[in-house]
Amino acid sequence: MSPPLHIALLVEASPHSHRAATTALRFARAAVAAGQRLSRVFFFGDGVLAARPHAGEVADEPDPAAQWSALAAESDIDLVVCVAAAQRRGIDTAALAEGFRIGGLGQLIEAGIDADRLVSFGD
Amino acid sequence: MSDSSDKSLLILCRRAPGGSAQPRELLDIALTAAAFDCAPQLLFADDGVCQLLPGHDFTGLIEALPVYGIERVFVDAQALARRGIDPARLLLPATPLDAAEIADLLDAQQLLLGG
Repeated sequence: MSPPLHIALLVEASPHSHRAATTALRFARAAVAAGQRLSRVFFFGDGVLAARPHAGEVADEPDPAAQWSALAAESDIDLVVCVAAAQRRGIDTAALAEGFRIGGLGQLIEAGIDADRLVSFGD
Repeated sequence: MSDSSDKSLLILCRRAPGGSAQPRELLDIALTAAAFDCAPQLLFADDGVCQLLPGHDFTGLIEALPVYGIERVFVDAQALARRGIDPARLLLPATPLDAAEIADLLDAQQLLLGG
């Protein structure tokens, strides 16, 4: 079997407006399930909205932050939220959902350099 | 972190400057990549060519791209022609490319962001 591919993701789509944000989550789960190495997911643009805990979800709708948190906890994935993009959108960067951390664009560039593939999900 | 100089990066700017935060945020990625010595290249295509015209919110940043070390800036010549934009009006001297040249440019990259 070939060695695992080192993958990083860039999520730019809002979890509330675009299917791409859900596709990113499903891609991440599939990559992990296939035995690939998913090291980091970088949230940028409207994608940072995924890091808000309990973002007003209705009872029967999925909670994107909780879904990412669960995946990160199972698989040791670094969930990094761009500080500038989050602040621009009024997100309390001191109270992100479990498993997310605040970071800067340098961590996106680093992921692009270090990973075999950087896969982006935009709107 | 591994050596940054061995990966080519192109950022594809395809959206008009006023529609959303995306065009400006993509440029933030380019500036950060330049700060990491990644020598990012930019390609303005589709409505993104309008970012190279005066009269929007981040014209100063566009003009300053070479100062930040972003010197390889390309523009889709056909996108300019379709919109009746004279290349002489652009805020900075972007290299015009035809469709075949754009295909070659995209093909040569190891990292491609934007859209």
